[in-house]
Amino acid sequence: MNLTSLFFLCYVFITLCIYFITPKKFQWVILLISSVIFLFYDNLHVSTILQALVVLLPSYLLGKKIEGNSNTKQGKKLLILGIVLILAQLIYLKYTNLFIATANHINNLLHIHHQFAFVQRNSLVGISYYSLIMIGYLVDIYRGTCKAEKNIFKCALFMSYFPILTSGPFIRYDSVGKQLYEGHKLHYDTLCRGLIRILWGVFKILVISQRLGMFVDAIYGNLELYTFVFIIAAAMAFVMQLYTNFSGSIDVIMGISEIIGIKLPENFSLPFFSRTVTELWRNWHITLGAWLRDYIFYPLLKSDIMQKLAKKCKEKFGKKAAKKIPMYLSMLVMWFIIGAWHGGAYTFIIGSGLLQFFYMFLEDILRASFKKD
Amino acid sequence: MKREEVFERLNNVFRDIFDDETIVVKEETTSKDIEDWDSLEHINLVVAIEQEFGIKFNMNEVTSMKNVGEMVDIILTRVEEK
Repeated sequence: MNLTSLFFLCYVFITLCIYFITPKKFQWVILLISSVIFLFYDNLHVSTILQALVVLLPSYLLGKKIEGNSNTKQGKKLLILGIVLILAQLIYLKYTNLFIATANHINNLLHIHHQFAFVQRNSLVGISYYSLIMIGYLVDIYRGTCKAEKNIFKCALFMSYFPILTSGPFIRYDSVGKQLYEGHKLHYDTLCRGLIRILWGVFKILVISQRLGMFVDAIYGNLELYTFVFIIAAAMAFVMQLYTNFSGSIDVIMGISEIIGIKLPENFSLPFFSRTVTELWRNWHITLGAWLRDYIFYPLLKSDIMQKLAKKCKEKFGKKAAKKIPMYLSMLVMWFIIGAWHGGAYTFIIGSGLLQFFYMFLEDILRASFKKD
Repeated sequence: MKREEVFERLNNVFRDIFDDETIVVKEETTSKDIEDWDSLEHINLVVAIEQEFGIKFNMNEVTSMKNVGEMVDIILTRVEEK
């Protein structure tokens, strides 16, 4: 469902009407039903139901087991099992064709004539979001930050809360979970604020982003007809098109949640007012950055492998290198994952991931040399 | 191990990590009080403290410590558990 379509807005309106006339105790059930319909709307199939269960069942069952084994070896084993199950499905659904394309490319390079056929994958909407959200849920239980949800239907709602399935933000059980299950009253203030935010989001998408899109498409589609200045203008316009589309979607999502009474974490904070590339990415898709920082970057930086590397670097290159080299390596891994998460193609892995790492790496090195001077 | 001893050893770790011999940490010292104490240096600091005291912080503790006082509480608990 398109967030700016009349159909979606009507869907939200009906959901909200039913939600607020339902007794508080059962309001979460309305959200669950609405989320399940959204999840399987135009994609109800045995395979898509299985896809949802492959994430839900390990999250629910292992979550309960991990709860009693926080920060223990047994808990770690269960956590790894859960992560492997969820990730294996995500990789299978999103990256099979990338692996096939890579294998075919290698075959070409080696002059082997066999080419593997590409496969059609029917992925459920939001799988990239809810897979990571549920991995975060399991890690939080393991770390003792939150308790496991005892009701499988409530767990399913946390996994599938429909407004966030298309564009995020990433939610965490300890801050958003409870809000989903507790009843809410309709307040005039939050209704007005929510509606204004939805309207603002729709404006950003329909009026700004889509107009810019027409300009960008006209130039990108006929590059040979335009001069350098127009191509640069189109590239700048594309950035604004992307930003207004994404942040507009987040505005719609935040607005809907605000009306319900659910406070979601903000995903943007004026990214184009940043002074550095690092700051830009800190203010763009904030919840994805925070997720990767807490569940990948920090644990990686603190891991025994990185600490051994730091020790060796200290012996060979000194204290500064001992800090910087593990940091750069952890950043490289994190940006590779960011790129891959955006899509199963090298354009994403390089453009949205590794290239950004390179800019930040350069920024850090240059900053240090400027400081020296 | 006494609390004062933990602070004494912590001061050495902080001075080494932030390259500043004048640092003296107190119960209420936070990342705002030390210029270079950002999220990255926090991880380096935590690892150095782990090595100094032969303990392990879990990730929840790493991200939730509010000041040096809380850090010392965790260190003392871990040292006692050993």
